[in-house]
Amino acid sequence: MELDQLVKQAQKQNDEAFYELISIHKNQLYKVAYSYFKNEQDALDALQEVTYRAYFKIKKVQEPQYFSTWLIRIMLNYCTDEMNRRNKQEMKMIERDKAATMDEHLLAELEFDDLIDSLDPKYQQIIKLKYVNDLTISQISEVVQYPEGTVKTWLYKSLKLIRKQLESEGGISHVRARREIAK
Amino acid sequence: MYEQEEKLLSKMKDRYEEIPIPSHIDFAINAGIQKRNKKRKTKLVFTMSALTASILILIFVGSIRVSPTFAMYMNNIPGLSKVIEIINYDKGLQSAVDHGYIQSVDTKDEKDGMSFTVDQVMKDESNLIIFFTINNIDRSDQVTVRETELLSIDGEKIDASRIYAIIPQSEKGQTTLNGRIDYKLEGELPKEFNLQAQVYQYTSGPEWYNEVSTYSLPIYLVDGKFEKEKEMIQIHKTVEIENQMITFDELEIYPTGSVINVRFDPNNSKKIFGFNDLQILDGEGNKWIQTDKNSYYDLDETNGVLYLESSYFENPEELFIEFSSIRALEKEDLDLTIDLTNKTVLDGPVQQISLIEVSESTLENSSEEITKYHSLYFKVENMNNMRFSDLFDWRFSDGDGEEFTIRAFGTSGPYHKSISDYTIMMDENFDRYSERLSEFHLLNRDITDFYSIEILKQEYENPITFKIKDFPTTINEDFLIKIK
Repeated sequence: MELDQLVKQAQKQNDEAFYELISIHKNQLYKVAYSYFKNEQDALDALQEVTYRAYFKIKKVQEPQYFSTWLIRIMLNYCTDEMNRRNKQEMKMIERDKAATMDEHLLAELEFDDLIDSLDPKYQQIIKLKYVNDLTISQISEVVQYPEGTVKTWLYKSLKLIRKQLESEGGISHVRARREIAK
Repeated sequence: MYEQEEKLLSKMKDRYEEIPIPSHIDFAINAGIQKRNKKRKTKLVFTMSALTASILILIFVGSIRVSPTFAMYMNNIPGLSKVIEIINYDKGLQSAVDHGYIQSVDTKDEKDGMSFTVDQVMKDESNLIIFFTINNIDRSDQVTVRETELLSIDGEKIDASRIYAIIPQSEKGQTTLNGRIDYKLEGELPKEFNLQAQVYQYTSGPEWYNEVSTYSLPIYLVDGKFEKEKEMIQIHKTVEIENQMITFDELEIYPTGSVINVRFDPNNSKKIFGFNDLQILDGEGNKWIQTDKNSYYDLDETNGVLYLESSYFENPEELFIEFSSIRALEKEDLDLTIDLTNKTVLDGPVQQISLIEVSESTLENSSEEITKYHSLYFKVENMNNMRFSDLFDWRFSDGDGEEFTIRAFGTSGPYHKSISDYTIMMDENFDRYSERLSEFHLLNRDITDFYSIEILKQEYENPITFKIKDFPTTINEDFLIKIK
């Protein structure tokens, strides 16, 4: 079945159709969630919650071709809100999956992840959509609902910020240190 | 231009490519769909994910002449019997009931499958208390009472304001709900009148949405039942606490509740927000406490009232006022001035409050409109004692003196072994609102308390100023005042 037919079926509360819709997007959704929470359990929780929220609101999707970006937007909003909430309470409840933290070779990469995670939420969203989900500028623009020009500006600003962080002496370890304190 | 950064990012991308997708991912999808299906019966939504074992108790604190403010109070109480206990917790009301000062009404209205019954009423010169039961609640719904109104038989609004109510929300699976609604009467209450009550149904979900049924209940008061007159005790005593003068003028004792009229000297350097532990004693071990969470209500600059349980039927020979702690703040610190650009507190009680963070948040409503907010997170010393209170007046002003409205406030921190994020949203007219109590987590951590407010994201002339309305700084000193 075509995507737009699935959307129409799902809007009539057809469980199979909606299941199919989420299945098509599950890898993409899971990766977005993982890029925020860095562990399987939280990412799965996010997927469950987003499945529920999306099914709840699917009638509001008027243009089936925007379903994919709409779905990713719900996931992004969930992740951003959840991270916000955790940060607010000074609890970085991020628990990396053991396998990842144990590997010494991944340390530098983890630090880079930390750097990305320390960016302003809107920049994080853009970076993750582009580099985790491999979306085009125009798709990103649909997801975040800002003009393409703005998305490009933000992307450029993010790169600039990343450079600044990398260049500032001990930039990465600074971010890491902060996380340690936050723990 | 940013080759190095792009390279690192594309490496990151490769890493995410390699992340294994767990085989049980489909269970998560299924669970999400099942969760939705459970809610399908009822169309409404309320963010209260792990709250099934908790009961919400709404306390509507409509001050007398000011626009209604309200606070919501959470309690972890399993089971209904406990709720009834809370409803009947008021010692003065229990005594009134023991003395037969209550009338059965038993008037019922049925609508949308449910029935709303007014079981009993109590009334005196000052107050009307209505006890109600809602029956036939669908097992998958949670219901509570929101707006209520008193109407004459001609349909005209009766001059009365809802001052205090303990209205629980039913739990899932619960089919009956008991509660109580209190009114302060501003004038004569006719013998026959109508109560209109809106019952809201909720179900969990990502949004604020609910269904409303309005019930209309004719109430007829029996002649001679509620004709007891209030007892007035003239006090006129002034006490001094850290150079602040507080005068207790009168104690009005009604069968269903007492009121103390208090006056604060206009020359006091501090603004007094309330008494933390004020009570009335009879010298024989009996005491009557404040019914309204230690609140004090301003009538004007210097006059206010405190609500307490009634000692009417005990009629003690001696009476004392006792308290040991008040909330107060220097008047010059009442304006909290914030530099939004530099995210700092410029003026106000700078020792007790600091601005932790200013961030942006978005709210998507049911029609997918997105509103952007600035969220300001404060750390407030001793905020623990004041959970769910609003610290600031809803109106604030910017550097040009232009007035704006706070759109939401929230508290976040440990409460009853769990963490709650609690938010109240308001529109510009203050008359429609929603409350959101999100995510409860079992907790084993030390969490600092936060107080947050949200204002619309727009251009403000720096700095902005909030007016402090209540604050947890206390002065402690023991007082025992003989009043009778």
